[in-house]
Amino acid sequence: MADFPHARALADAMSTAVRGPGGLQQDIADEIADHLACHAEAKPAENPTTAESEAIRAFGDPNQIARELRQIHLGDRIMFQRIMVAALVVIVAGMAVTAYLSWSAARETGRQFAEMNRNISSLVEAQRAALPKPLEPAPPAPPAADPVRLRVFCGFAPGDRPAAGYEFEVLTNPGDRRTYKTDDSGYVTTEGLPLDKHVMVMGRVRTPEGTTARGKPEWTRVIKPEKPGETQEVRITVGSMLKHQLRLAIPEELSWNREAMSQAEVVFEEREGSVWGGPTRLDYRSGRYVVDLWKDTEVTGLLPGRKRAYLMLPGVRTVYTSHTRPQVEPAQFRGAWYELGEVDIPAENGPLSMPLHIDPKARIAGLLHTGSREQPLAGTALTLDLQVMSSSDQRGNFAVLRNEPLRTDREGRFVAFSNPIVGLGQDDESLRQSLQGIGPVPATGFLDRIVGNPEGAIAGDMTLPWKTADGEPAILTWPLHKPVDAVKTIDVVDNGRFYEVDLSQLGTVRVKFTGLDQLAAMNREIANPAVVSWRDPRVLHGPPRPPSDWDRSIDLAEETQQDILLFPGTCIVDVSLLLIEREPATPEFERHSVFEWNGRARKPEPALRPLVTTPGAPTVRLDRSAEVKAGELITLEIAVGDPEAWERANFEWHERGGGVAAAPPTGTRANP
Amino acid sequence: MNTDPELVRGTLDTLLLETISRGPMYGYQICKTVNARTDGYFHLREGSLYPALHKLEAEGLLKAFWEQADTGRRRKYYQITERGKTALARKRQEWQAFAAAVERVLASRAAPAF
Repeated sequence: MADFPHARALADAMSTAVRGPGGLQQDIADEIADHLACHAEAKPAENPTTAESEAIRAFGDPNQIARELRQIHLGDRIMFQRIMVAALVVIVAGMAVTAYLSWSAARETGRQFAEMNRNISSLVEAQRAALPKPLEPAPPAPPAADPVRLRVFCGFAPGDRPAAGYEFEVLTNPGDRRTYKTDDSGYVTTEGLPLDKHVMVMGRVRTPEGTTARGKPEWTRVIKPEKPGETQEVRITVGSMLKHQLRLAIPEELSWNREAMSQAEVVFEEREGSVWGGPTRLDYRSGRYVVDLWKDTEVTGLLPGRKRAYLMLPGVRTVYTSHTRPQVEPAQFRGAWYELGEVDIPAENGPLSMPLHIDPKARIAGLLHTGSREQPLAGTALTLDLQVMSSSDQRGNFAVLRNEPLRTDREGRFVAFSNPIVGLGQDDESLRQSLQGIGPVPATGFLDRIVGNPEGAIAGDMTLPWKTADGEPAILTWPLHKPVDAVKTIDVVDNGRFYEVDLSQLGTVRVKFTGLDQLAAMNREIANPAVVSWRDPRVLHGPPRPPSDWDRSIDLAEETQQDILLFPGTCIVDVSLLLIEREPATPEFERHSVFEWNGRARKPEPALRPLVTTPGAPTVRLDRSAEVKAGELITLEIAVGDPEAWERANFEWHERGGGVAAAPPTGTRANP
Repeated sequence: MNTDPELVRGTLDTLLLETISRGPMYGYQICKTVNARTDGYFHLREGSLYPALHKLEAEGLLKAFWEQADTGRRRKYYQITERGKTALARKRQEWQAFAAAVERVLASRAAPAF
């Protein structure tokens, strides 16, 4: 178990600042020290000092917290003390009056005694003259211990250029707080401080440029002078004026679609709160650099020395899509970003190359072809899409872990990252193992850390823009988590995963809308694109799916049919249509309705005649399910103008011609 | 989005009581649980929980006990009291009524149907 002396010192200083009884101070110190140690120990892979500094920084303003604790525990006592002080002042004043009166009376008496003393003195002098010589006087008592001083220098790298106007605080025992500001030479010397332990905090600092920066853990120092009169020197490098040309060395084997992505974000763990300029694309709040993947990007402000660098690739996201993207702090990097490793930042301007290494175990590799391995799909774009969803989240939110555009090479192969970059902490070994196959897994632990919900699941898909045999554009969704015959999954010797996809095994569902011209006669109008979604009946009760992966919007003003490529098996197709309805009975209003297709495109007849007939294709029965077979095309005909084929799911009244929702007209229902 | 500090102060006690109502917990554990369950929404500094915990303890809504952790350190655990459970139930009701009222106001704002 690591020892965390700075954390303990901070806890002690805080508990002292509370100024309560000894037992209370000890309890508070132990509780806070335990908290800071827990925080630091939660990062076993980190250097203990770094972890400790991070724990202190994450704890917040120790003065503020100590004040609040003091108020809670000693609030009554403080009030009592104030009352006592007030009473004491009254008593002292009364005593002063009494004393004056006594003094006046005593003065006369004193005058009489003085005369008597003079007489006695002459007698004493005579007696002294008769005694031996007195001894030498004792040496004077040593002076009180001299207060100690801190001499602080703040500078910029390289060469310790002075940082003028930087403010910092010194927390002294017992609980004093003093603020200082460096002069033009970057120096400041404190006044005398007690010979005790002090904590020097450079939290938020105001620079001469007028910019506020966040404090860094290494700017907090615990100082314990040991000699009276000592002046301790403290040097802090607050920033850097260095400029580096940063370049990521990306392995050629990766199949990232360079046309679809050209930028990434890089963060250096000790790079935080930059205020010294830099490229305009630097996010000052988080200290991220947005870099071009394929060319040099100038970065400024990096301090020389070894730094841990992290990379976030385009498309790789770690947050709920429904939430504002949180500020990622260094403590979270391990769980959310790809760690590039340690990088030596040189102490001079110049190029800085950071290689990106890929562990063979961390790869997803695959091959796309159409029926034989001799016909590879070269240069085909596909997307690796991993998402996580919370099943207990009523809003059905998803966190996009990865949405990575890929492109196959000349042989139809592709290589992408696997588990290390999907947002998992290095210390979460069990979850990383369960993600090896990119299967849907309970997201316990992971979600608890990232999105705060332990009941989610992770699902993975590949999406592939494609064209059918007759040239119609379509999109294939390839569910990585679910075995399909057309995808062979091979465990290769290095424990990576290799997917071989035979696209000739695909079937096509053609969704075709008819009867649009009948809408006008029915006082109806298309309001929004129709939405077609499909699902596998076997996973009806499985993990919920991101709607975007299984839905296609069809703008019926532009096209009336769309082909959907699916792997063989049964699928259920749902269609929803958004219509504006106008009725003579309510001329001032219109009804915006959501209709859902119920599959009964025609009334069933005794002979069960086929609903839709496509030459050479299977028959679609009177429900919404379709049996997809390899190499075959089936058509679902959606009769928009057939009222019996649709059910109104909900509606809302609006003023005619306007988008404003309105109260339902008199005599009508608010809902279907 | 920056969270209104007044909103944080007004709801922190409820969050803490709710979290601790599931069983005895220590400070760091509480802090992580609250931040995780709120998706880090409130951006709570870790130390800011302690004054709130101590206040709830002083009010008798929580009680604390010490145990020795595996690490050898003394560790303070917080447990909800019967009084705390009653207060939590009341705060839940108040919050739900408040949230429902706000939701009703916001929902009445004009919005397109689709």
